[in-house]
Amino acid sequence: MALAEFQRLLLRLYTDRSLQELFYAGLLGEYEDRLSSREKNALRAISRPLLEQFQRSLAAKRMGMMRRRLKAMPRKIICSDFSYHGPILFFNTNGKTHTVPVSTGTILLARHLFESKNPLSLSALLRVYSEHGNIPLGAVIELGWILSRHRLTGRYTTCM
Amino acid sequence: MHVNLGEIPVLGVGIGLREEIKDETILHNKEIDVLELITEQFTPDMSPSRRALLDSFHSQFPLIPHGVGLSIGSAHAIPEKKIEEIKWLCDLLDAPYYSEHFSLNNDEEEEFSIGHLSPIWHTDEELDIVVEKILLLQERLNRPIVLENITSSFDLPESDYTETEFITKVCDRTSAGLLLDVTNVYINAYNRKKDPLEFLKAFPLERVVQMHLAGGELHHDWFSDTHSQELSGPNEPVWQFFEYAVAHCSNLRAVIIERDQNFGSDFEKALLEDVRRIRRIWHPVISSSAKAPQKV
Repeated sequence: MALAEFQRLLLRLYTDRSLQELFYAGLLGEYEDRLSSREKNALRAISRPLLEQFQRSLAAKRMGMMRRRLKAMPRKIICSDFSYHGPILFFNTNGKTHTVPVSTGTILLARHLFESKNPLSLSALLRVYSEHGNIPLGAVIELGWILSRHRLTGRYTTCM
Repeated sequence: MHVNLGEIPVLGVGIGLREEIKDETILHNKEIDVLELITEQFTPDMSPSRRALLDSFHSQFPLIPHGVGLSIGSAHAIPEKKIEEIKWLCDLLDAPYYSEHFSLNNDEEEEFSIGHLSPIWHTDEELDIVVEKILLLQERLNRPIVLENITSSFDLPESDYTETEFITKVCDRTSAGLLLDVTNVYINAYNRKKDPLEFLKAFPLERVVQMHLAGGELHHDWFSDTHSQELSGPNEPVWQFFEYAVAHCSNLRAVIIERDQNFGSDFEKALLEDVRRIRRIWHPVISSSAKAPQKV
């Protein structure tokens, strides 16, 4: 595998919990065949607790940044009243789907983070939002934004 | 480009320029010799208010630009726009050198970024990539490059070199300087159950141009590099390694305390007490070599 591709895999491993699960289950799929034996050995020799520790550390740093930035925003920008065709956060607990309205400002920021492929920031934003809103920790979050009537134009899933 | 670290002037003791403490920083400018700013926060298209802030600080302090987003370990080339932005800032500030990190932050063409620093795989292939980028940067920026050691939970296995061997080879091949983060040395040693002093001695100390100190947090026997505490309590052991490093780094030109959060209301306690302690340790060393910074 070319170094650039290996680096992409590494960076995803650091930040993508579902990829980590696949990796430790030996189910890297398309990647598996392209990894050299040295690359495979290197990845397999990374201690799982240390990798998870590193992931927590990255998430904590990003949470800190997001908190500091959102602190400067008025609360009403983060938690606004529901608008019928406005953006919505979906979350699932015990198999039941709930929806929470969010402000346009929040969704624009979330959409920007999603489009700039910055999953750490996006997860941090949603976690901070959940502290202000009423989303329980442990809920599976689906974020949707509606730019035109009745049409879901984006979707992102994470776990609080 | 010919690099002679000995030609860099002594800048003294300082802190990171942070929006949250800008008023206190100016108020105590007699005790702060130099400020380090984050390059990515001051780009050519910054807002007028941001530019005014930069100009105001530039008129009162020497400023060192410190980058966090270069990702020097990435396989892809440094985007031309990024080089131009760095050069613009370095020229504006008349920076004596440019500092960055030994790190991997994003993949090809910044398609995927973790937004933070992660360890480079210390292989021959990576060594060539890092060396080539530093040589290019030194040529384009027309000033020395100084790179910082980072904290990480682990080194990538199956490498050709240890972290300190890799850094030494990079410095040897490029004449680059080292920004020795003493706290990062201590934290990595602590978390990996290594001897911090032996780990510190393995760095090419003669290449150290600048040092960082910062207060981290200790939870469940794991040290996190949070830049959120004073250098006391669980951070107190860092001082003994700082003292050792100061005594063995003949090219040291600046020491910066990094504090990013949890400033509280007592600037004196949060930062100035540590600034004074650094000065007490370093001052005798630089005085003896007649290179004392003006405010010392």
